[in-house]
Amino acid sequence: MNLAFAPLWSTLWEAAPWLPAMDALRLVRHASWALVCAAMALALCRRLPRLRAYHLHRRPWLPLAMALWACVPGVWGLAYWLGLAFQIPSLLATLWAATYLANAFLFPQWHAGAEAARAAPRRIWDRIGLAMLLVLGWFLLLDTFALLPWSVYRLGFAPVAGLVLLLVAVLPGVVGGGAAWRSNRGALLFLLALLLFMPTRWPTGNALDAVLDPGLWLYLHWLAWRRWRPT
Amino acid sequence: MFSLRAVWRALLAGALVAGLAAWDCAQRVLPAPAQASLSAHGSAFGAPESPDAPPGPSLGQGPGVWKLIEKGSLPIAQGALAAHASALVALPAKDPRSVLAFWFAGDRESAPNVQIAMSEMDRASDRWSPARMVVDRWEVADTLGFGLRRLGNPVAWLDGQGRVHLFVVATGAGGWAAGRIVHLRQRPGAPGAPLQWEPLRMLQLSWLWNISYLVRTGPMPLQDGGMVLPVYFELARKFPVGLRFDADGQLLNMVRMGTGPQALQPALLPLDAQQWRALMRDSSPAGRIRVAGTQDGGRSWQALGDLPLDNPNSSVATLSVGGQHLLVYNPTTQGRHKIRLSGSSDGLQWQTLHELEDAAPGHEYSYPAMALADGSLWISYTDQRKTIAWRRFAWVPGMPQTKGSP
Repeated sequence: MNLAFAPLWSTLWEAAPWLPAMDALRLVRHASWALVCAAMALALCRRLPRLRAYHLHRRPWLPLAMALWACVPGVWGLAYWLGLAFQIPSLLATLWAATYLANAFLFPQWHAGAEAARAAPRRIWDRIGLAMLLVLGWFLLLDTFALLPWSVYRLGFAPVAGLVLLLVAVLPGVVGGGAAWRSNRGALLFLLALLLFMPTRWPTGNALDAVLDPGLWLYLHWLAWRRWRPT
Repeated sequence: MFSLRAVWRALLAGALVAGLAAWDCAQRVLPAPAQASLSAHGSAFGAPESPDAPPGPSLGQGPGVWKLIEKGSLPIAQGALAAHASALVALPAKDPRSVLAFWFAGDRESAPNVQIAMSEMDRASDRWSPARMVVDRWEVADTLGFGLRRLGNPVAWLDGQGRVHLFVVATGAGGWAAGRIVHLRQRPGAPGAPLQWEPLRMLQLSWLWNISYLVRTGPMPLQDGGMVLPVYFELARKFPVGLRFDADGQLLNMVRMGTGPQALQPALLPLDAQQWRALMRDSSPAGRIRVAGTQDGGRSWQALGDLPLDNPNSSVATLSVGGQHLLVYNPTTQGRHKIRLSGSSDGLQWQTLHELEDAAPGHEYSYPAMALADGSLWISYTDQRKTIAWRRFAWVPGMPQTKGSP
């Protein structure tokens, strides 16, 4: 390697973590859990036949109640106990939940667009992203138990992780232009999560935590099974 | 071939990514290589010496003995039936307190009412202050914004600005294997005023809901005023990890000291600025102290096998002073009824210096800690899970080092 690049190279790989401000993180924790819990409640409602007929878009009481409960501070709040067990959702999970809720309640036309996009044949980027996140999660799980010879998670604190993830995230736009974003909303959320992470460092200062948390990773397995199961 | 549009898009995306990456790099510092703190006399400290203490020209150097000069038990925290896992930290000479002791106290280990207790050795009166509870899980949880189930092992460190930091195990949903590490720091206050603590953050060390990293053994100071905090992972597999902090207490990096699968609670021992050892509790049936080593200031670690010392899967404490290495450990293969202070010049061959306790099986003396303050060696350890015992040794030069007893 050219020695002139050595400091840049070292900085990319070994620079100290840049962590989020704690005060803002308290609010972000409440907001993230509020969105994720509301989205989970809505998804549950849509899957229960008796609730599905309840005109959720006009009377979203259960998702709203979950969101409000997660916003309550202290021991009576849902975020307090979810934080005890699971800390905080990733930005990608939070944005995913926010989009899901917006599709349902605020911009039903988005939902129609998303449904149309789901049927479109050019969703290759979403599929690549899904596969990539599944593999990344497996690496991170093995790394957690020191079953890999090198540490993957530690790299998430270094600038190199943000750089690599950003390069991956802009690829659909470079190759396919705006049409790629319109038909691959998962890939667009991935990019948005990274763009939000770069200045804020939410939720942990680790780029890998911004794009994948264990809960989202488990959900992606279910999604992959649904999408690729043999018919 | 690529269209002109695609080229433009690539250029735009490249500029965006490069700009963000450059901005990201500009916000950070690149840590210099870690060098263990060495005194002018070639001593390094596995636990901090009082920073403003007199140089102590012969502490631990040449022929001499560590002579027991005082012993006792730390005051019991009010209402606490159990005490365990003490930590010591030496304060600067200008402070009216020479040593601070921390431990967890409550009804029993892992009880809901366990808090972190503290006592201070007053320089003027040469007495320990009454114990007081200084870290309450409900208060810490309130500051962090999420719940903590239980509190456990504390570890203390004096930073480059003379502020005391506390690292405390706090469990999430589960037992110790769901532990995390809370980082607290002394609030600004008048010198000598009672210490107050502010939670800074939960150290983020693992992708899996940040669980199963715990702390137990003291930090190893570095020349830059920072330190390496030895921690360990213990969910299913156990392995040690070194966390490097700068002089301000900011986390710089984390490095695995090995991949386990059974080594935990590493105690660091600097042989020189770059060559360190980690002596670890071994949870396998081997009944020994496991060793890992680094030649490059903690960037990479290699397993070095076991020490020829018995140990019943119990925590150890280390300290280096004046070229002499000290180790407190349980010298049995089963039971923690004996605890011993040993010395070594190379970290491999150990000689018994003092039998701190030698009781019948069934008794427990465990989880030692060491600190060097005002020219004295301070040792504390758990006594029957009821109290924290302490011993104070003075270095007497010129006498041959022989085995002694308290």
